[in-house]
Amino acid sequence: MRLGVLDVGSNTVHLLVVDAHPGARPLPAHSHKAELRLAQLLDEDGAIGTEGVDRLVAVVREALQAAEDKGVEDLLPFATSAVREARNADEVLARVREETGVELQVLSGEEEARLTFLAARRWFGWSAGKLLVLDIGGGSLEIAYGIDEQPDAAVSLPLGAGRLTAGRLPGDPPAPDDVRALRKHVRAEIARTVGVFSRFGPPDHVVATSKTFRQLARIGGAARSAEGLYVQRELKRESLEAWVPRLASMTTRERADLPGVSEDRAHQLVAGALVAEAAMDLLGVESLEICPWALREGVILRSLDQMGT
Amino acid sequence: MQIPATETQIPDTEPKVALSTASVYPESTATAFEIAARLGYDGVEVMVWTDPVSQDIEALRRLSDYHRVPILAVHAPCLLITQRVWSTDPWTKLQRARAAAEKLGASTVVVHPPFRWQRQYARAFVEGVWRMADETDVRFAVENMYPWRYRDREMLAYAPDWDVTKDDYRHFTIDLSHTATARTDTLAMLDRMGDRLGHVHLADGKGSAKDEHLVPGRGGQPCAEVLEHLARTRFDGHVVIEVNTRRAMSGAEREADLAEALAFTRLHLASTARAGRG
Repeated sequence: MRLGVLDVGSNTVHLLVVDAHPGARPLPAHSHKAELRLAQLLDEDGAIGTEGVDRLVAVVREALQAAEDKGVEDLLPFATSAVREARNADEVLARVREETGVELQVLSGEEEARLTFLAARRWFGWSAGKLLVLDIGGGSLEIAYGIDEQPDAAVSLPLGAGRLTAGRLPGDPPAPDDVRALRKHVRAEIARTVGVFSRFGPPDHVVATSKTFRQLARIGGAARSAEGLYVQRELKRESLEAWVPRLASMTTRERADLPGVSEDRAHQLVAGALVAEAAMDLLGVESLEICPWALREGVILRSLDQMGT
Repeated sequence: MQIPATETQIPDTEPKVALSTASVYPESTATAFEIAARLGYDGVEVMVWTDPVSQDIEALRRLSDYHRVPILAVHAPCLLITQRVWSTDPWTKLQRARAAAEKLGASTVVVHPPFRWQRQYARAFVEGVWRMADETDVRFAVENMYPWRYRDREMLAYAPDWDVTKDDYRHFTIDLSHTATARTDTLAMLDRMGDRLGHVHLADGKGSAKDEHLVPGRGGQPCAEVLEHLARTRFDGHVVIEVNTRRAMSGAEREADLAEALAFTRLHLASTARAGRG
């Protein structure tokens, strides 16, 4: 049976089609993507404007068609922080339901962190021991820690790269004062939750998911994505620390010329790098490994688990 | 600075002193030619970067002719901000730099070692530069860089190494702002380069994490010693002033800095020639 996973994220709306059976790998048979940048479409009141909802509806409709074309029997539609935190979330969900028939399930930040953790655990396996998992999305930062498949602690902070860029780094290149203020804000937010994790003792393995971390690893010298999923990719804190001031002094255009930095994400890389650096620093992480699986794979894995029962 | 008494003793191999077009930034490449002519530089080194004139061989030739300032060197576009200039392929950039140098009569192409993320380029770099150098009279002078630093940590941004003397190249460029940033022993590096030293970027630095490119004499680098060494060893390359004048408050202040750099350089190149022979 073909299963479709529709992920309405803060940056993109992403449809993955998987050949699902109990115990299957959560690898997509097909993938369909649209850049929507919901996190940046929030208006001053924190609501998604009419135009934003129109575009969301159009994109969901398109994804539905793509799912049907690929023979999807069952669709798992979910939304993360952009919709979750929109002031008019109910209205947005109602409109999507009315106009497309899709009932978006809104994941809480903690669920997001838990499902991402599950994906990272399955990727690295039990030999990885105590895992600390970081993910920087468009709308939020997820941190999870644990020794099982379910994390012992999972936290979501409103520190997504898209949200912070839209709200706090207006200039191009960003003004040094704005960068400094953002750095302070990010560190204060993360520092508040550090205790939640530090009481479990040091992790055996620190991993990061998300495009932000992948790009930061790539500019630090990690293998290109074309080299495949199974190449080990690492991000060192010293690399990140040396990069942050450089990224902050570059324009979006210049950042887009860096290896592995896509044009549509170049604008939010400074905010993403500040969050990554702060998280690694405050959690005492010298080096982490990039995990190619994240939330979507977590959602698929969980639904595959449930298929058998 | 006039030193009439020694004029006849200065060997004709005395290095030429050129102005890097990067030294006038944020002013344009065209302005650099104008200033180089007015201040009496022997030529310019063209930094190929985002200024479209710097990428256009015909425009550069016209500037050189108009101002009567020869182009002595071409700096290939291998900066962080010039990833897309001329080509995204690093080898193509070098080929185009070589072609530009040949057409413009420049003797040297300045090349940085690859960034670490340019994995294939980095793996083939040493061999590739040798191969390219074998096909032309133009010198490919590979420049020393520095580790990127944040507080007391270092990140290795270049491959095979920021210290280019760890690998074998036919020609090197030594840059005295980069040696300062790297906090390396400049004279020892100069020694390791030996007769493979083909080109000099003269600037100064105080060893901060930023690549400062100060006017020579304003930092902690042994600029005078290096120049005296060049004169003594009959260095046959060029000395290029590559300084940062971004913070100059006016055009006059920028020109004063560039005039001071030139005077400093000529003084120390000549004083040894005189001392050595006098």
